[in-house]
Order: sequence, then C-alpha cells, then structure tokens
Amino acid sequence: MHVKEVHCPTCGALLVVDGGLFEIGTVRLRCSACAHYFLPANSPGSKTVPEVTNANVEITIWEPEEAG
Amino acid sequence: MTARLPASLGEWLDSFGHDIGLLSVDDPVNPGAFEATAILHQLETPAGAPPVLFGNVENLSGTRSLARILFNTYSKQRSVSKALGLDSETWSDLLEAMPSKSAELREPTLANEAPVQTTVIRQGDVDLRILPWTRHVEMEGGAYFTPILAARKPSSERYNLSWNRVMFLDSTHAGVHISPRQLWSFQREAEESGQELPVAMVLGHHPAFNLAAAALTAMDVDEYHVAGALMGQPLRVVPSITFGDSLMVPGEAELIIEGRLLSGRRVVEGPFGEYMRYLGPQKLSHLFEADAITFRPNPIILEIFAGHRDHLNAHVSIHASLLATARSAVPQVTRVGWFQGGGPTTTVVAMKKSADGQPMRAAMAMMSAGNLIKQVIVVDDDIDVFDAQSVMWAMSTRVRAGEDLTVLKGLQGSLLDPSHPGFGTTTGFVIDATWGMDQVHPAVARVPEEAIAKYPITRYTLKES
Repeated sequence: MHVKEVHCPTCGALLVVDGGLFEIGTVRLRCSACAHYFLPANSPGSKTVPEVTNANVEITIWEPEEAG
Repeated sequence: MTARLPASLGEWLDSFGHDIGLLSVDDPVNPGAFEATAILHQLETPAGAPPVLFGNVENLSGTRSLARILFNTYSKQRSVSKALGLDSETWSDLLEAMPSKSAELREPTLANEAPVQTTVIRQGDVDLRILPWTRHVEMEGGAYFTPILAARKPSSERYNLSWNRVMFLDSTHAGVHISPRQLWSFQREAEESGQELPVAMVLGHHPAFNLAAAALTAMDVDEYHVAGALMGQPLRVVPSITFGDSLMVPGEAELIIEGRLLSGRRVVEGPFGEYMRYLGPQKLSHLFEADAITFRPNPIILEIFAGHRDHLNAHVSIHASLLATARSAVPQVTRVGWFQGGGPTTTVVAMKKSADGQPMRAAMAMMSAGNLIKQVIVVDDDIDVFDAQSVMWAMSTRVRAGEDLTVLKGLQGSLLDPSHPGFGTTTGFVIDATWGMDQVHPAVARVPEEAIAKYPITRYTLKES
C-alpha cells in the first residue's frame, strides 16, 4: 500500500488514504471522524478508477444517500 | 463411545470456556465507541490476552443488540489449540499437528435443522444498524465487523471462505476489502459476465470454521471441506434464504447476513487496523448489499481484535501451511516462525542443514506459497524462531551480506504492506543465517553445567548494598 495523509476540510481530522485512490482526484474521500465526503486537494489526477481497482468493467463509485 | 464434538461457537465455549480462561463482561458496553477494544487493550500482555465475551452490547441504533460479541479467540496458543480440537502445549506442537488435521477433508452434510435460520429478517426489513458494529482503533474509517464471507465459484460448485474487513455504510450496504486471491477471482468472474456474486457473511461459527478461511488452499479445493477437516466433523449446510441451494450456508453459524457483492460498483472503505499493526488506508473496495439477516437465539458474533495478537494469530492456518510447504521442499526444516507486527511478511525458517543450498531451497518454497511473504531468514536449528533476540544473534554472527543476502525483485506484494506501492511489484530478500557446512561452529560462551550444579546459589548469602 502506498499511503497518503490528507486532512478533512470540514473537521480537520487526519485521514490515511491509499496513494492510488488519492491520485485519482475525482473520487470523494470519506472522513473517518465526521463522515463528510470531500475531494482530495492537490491530487495529481494521474490515475483512473479502472487502474486503481484493477477492474475489467466500467466502475461506478457508490456513496450512501446521506453523503449528499 | 466418543463425546460429540462442539458444532457451534456456543457449544465450543460451553466445552472449553473454562479451559481457555474465558472472561465475560455483562456490563453495558458500546463497541461502536471503542469501549470494547479499550477494555481489551487493558487486558493485552506480551503473552496474549484472554478471550472476552461481551454479553450486553449496544448496536448502531443505540439500543441493546440482539447479539453478543466474542473477542480474542485466537490471542493465546491454548485457545487456538482448543479451536482445532488439539491439546498442544506449544505453538511448535500445534503447527506440527495442524497439517494432518487440515488434510482430513470432509464433505459437508445437508443439515436437518438450521439454528442460524431460527429468526429471519428479509429484504425490506433488513437494517444493519441492529447489529453491534465495532470501532477497533483510532482513525478507523467507521464501524466494522471481521466476518467470514462464504461464496460459490460462479462456474462451479466449489466454495471459498474468506476472512474480510467489512465497514458499515448504511442500513443495507457495507464496504468489503478483498485481497486479490480466491474471493477476488470469484467476484471478477461474476462481474465480467455482468453478474452479482451471492455471498453469506458469517458472523460467528465454531472458531475452526474461521481458521479454514485463513488457510492457503489450492484453487480446486472446496473450503467447506477444509472447514470440516479443521472442525473434526462435516460442516452442516442448508440452502440460503435468499438464493436457495445456489448458495449453501453453514446451518450451525450464529448469525449470517446474506447478500451480494455488486458488479461494477466500488466504495471508499477504511482505514482499518491491520495485523501488521498499521492502519490499512482508505481505498476503493467492493460493495455489499444485504438481502437478509438470519440468526440463532442469543447469537455470538466472533470478532477479531484488529491490529493486535488476536488478529495475527488468526493466521495460524497460513503458518502451518508454510511449515509444511518448506518441509516438503527441504525435509531438514524443523520450525517456521514470525513475530508480532509484520507477521508472515518476515518469516524465519529453522533447519538441521545437511547441505549448502538447502536454506535457499526452503526460502524459495516459502516465497512461492503466498504473497504475504516478502522476506525469509533461514537459521540453524539451535535458534528459536519465535524469539527475535535469538534470530538477531544468528543474523549478527553467521551472516556475511555479500554471500548470504539475496535480493529478490519483481515479487507480488501484499496490499496491506505499507512499503508496497499498490498493484506494482515489491522487492524481498532471503538471508541465509546458517553456518556453512565447512565452517567450524565456535563454542558458545557459557558456564559449565557441572559448576552450576556443584555450586547452587542457595548455598550463598547475597547481601543487598
């Protein structure tokens, strides 16, 4: 695992994130402390969801309804 | 006439609870607020911790849960031994006995009764909040369970058991982290044909059932048969409520969430405290949708104390497999050990070497056994593979890096290894810390045994200054 550390923009809590997930940039992360969903700041946007999930089909990211 | 073996977790605790030092907590405890793991932390010692059954736990709705939770089932050797129906006194004895036990594969039997289906909550009424999901360690992504996922390979009748971290998402959804092994291949097979994969999330069964899920099993072996081997009796199965006989489920389980791993969907899940004692990061994991919850009266959820000894020792099936694998390559192998923290990432092999080159043969056998192993240290039989100080003594005194260190590039790594860059390859090593066959072994500096016997300390007066 290649790890990145980011801070929740809402509550400031530290979140440990997989480097691949961080580098996608368009997938929202979920704060462990306040459950707020947010896009990672400063992501290079250098990876795609299929690359990171190693999937052979189109992947849609699911979020719970309360994620807003 | 032999006594009937325990078939369920409750029966196992009734039979062995006293023997394994089971503690019970009947005070109200909220596992979703770190209350259970705070108690467990204070019971942890370097030698492990006792199993603890929490009888009055809060669910995610803030009311008393219908289930109890058991932690630390695997924290001590004695408890693991009893899980396997063995009477081993040491880890070495247990690891020696386990391969023959694992080899006694037993076909499951169709049960007449399914205690786990005593109560059934069907689609529409399912709410995962009624369960006592647990927060284990700080910075974890949410509330978790560590269940066994039972699934059938879509193109065959073969079942796989997989031990997974599962994070609560909402009333019918959970995120499931799956390593790229058998369950992963089942899910991919279903997904690539546009299908969802039916799975049974088993929260609590005889503790040997869980150990079958951690076994390094060949792709053509049905892990329901392995569960029968480790439990010492055939697994009793019944058709699932949701999928009928296309997904058979263990009838003696405590509680099962039936559902599907969705095709073409992923979800952010994590972090979670892993056996390497680091947080496994938040990542894109698989999405589970629940269809039914079934349970026996007063069920017990078997939960792992994440990131602690209970978690590492739950890998005992892999440990025993590695010993057997190394020994099949080099019969002179005597023991295989690892340490808390990295666990199998750095594995130590002891042998009574009879030819140079055997250490590398044994190490290569270990390396090929699974992606959890990155580094192998081979030592002589006089070194205790369970004692890091003893291993370091061999490393310090029997190794010349130029000759004895081999770096291995291009290895498949573990996604839980913090040094590993995701799906890329990793680099490992083998250290041969054995004496060369033509080397003179220097005498160990020690006081003569005869002198110790001749001059017992009880003969002398030791004055404090």
